[in-house]
Amino acid sequence: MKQRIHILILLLTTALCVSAKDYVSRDGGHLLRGFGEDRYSLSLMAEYGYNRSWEHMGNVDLYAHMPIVKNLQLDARVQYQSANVLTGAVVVRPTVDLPVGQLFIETELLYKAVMRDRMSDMCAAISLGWRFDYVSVQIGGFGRVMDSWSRDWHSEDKYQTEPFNLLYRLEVFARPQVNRWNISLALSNIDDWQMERMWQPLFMLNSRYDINDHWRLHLEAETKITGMFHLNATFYAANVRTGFSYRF
Amino acid sequence: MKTRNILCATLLALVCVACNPNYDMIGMINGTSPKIAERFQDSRRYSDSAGVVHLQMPPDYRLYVCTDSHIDTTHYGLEKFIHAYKADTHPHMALHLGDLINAQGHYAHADSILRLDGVMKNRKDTIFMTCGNHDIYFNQWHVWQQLYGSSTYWFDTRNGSKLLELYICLDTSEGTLGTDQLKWLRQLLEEKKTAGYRRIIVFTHTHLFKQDNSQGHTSNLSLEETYELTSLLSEAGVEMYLCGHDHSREVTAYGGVKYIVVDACCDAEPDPYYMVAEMGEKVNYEFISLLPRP
Repeated sequence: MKQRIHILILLLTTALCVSAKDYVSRDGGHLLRGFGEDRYSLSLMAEYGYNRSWEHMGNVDLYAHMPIVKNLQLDARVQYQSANVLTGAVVVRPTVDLPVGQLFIETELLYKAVMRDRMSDMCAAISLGWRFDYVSVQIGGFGRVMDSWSRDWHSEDKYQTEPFNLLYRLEVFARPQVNRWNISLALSNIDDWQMERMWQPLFMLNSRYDINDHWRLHLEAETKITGMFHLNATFYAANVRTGFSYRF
Repeated sequence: MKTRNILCATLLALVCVACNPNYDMIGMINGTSPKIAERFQDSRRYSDSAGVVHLQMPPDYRLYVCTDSHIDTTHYGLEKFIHAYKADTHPHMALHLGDLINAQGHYAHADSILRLDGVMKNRKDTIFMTCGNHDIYFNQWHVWQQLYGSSTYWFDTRNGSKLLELYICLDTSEGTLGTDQLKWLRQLLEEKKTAGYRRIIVFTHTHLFKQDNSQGHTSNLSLEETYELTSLLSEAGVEMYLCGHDHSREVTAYGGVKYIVVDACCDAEPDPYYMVAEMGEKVNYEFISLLPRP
């Protein structure tokens, strides 16, 4: 299995190099996860979500994107889900401009207070990415600590650790980044609010439209299919979100 | 040209994997058996008509657990487990935690091993089954159901009128409990948590945590379901959650619940085991090696 993964990664990297040979870096800002944007921005999104465990919910997402200096960005995000779950994340992202595309390193801390279940889930991730006009690819790892707030300290109870999970994200864009609008398809096991186990992929369809120099409109959809690697795939969750960004 | 070659090679590799008769590759896009909502309804219909099983047991009895036998052409591990179980003169019962067979067309073989010496004529005897992901590949849910009836049910052990253990079987062969089954579980635990059982034990196929990479490409339940289920089991005072799927042993405690992943007993496994637990006032369990093979 490991050998197959290595071959797959090699094939993917080779394909990207081939497709990127005519690329000239143009910094228009990627839609997702804020990067590439060279101005401070705030985003507010409203979201409808459904999953088979918590069923219907409404969520509010708040994003802050802070390009502190050239080639160093800081993102902060907070989400409240009406299922009584609060999530916060901080991302530090140094970037390196290359003759072909841009390299970035993401370090992320994600904390989820699952108040309805009286527990917390904290993840720390580091990943390396490479983005082009039409493609962005990111790979890395993350660890998780899951803890119950009702832990009996006088028993053998312990927090749950998942020391290493593979993190991946592949996103394909319909338009160059400088375009006023864009649509993308993404396959990943992480999004802005969760880090799923590596065999639990998320599928995303994202779009944006720059209304003017300051305002940007977002419309995004995401689905989680469970059991794909059980070879018994079935629908588990879906989210639709929309909102605005204001770029200062 | 180079890109085209790479794409062709990737496509060829996918076709080769898809042709492996053990893998239901269509299921990677959409499971070929009925979905969990339908399987749950099938199971409940069967269980409602069959009635609830109350096993009379002494206060100390043995629980045999095996999982992931993946029967295809050989059956050494499962047969050895059944023989050990049958030879035990102490009162006992057994659980099989799913993945009885490996692919399609092996139910007759696997079932003939389970029924050695007439050990199990129907689910009301002493091996209780749940289904795993392999069991429902290639639209085989109806075969499984015809043989074993229900994948979502409960039964208990009693000593006279004294309640001993409540056992709850869940169907997680699709990587999710689904909405209806989760509601059923919530309601059942609510009703039973104050009934006076000595302990509550939940058994199913899929594990909840991913502590290491031993599980290879097998997936867990989703995160939200992990949060919800662990919390529910803790609140209801469930003592043990028994599962397989990972093929490698993992014992951990979280929120007052002991989570045990039992090793696979399949013949392809280099180090197969089954588990035996002494069910008394306390639970003492051990893992028994299925080596050497004949």
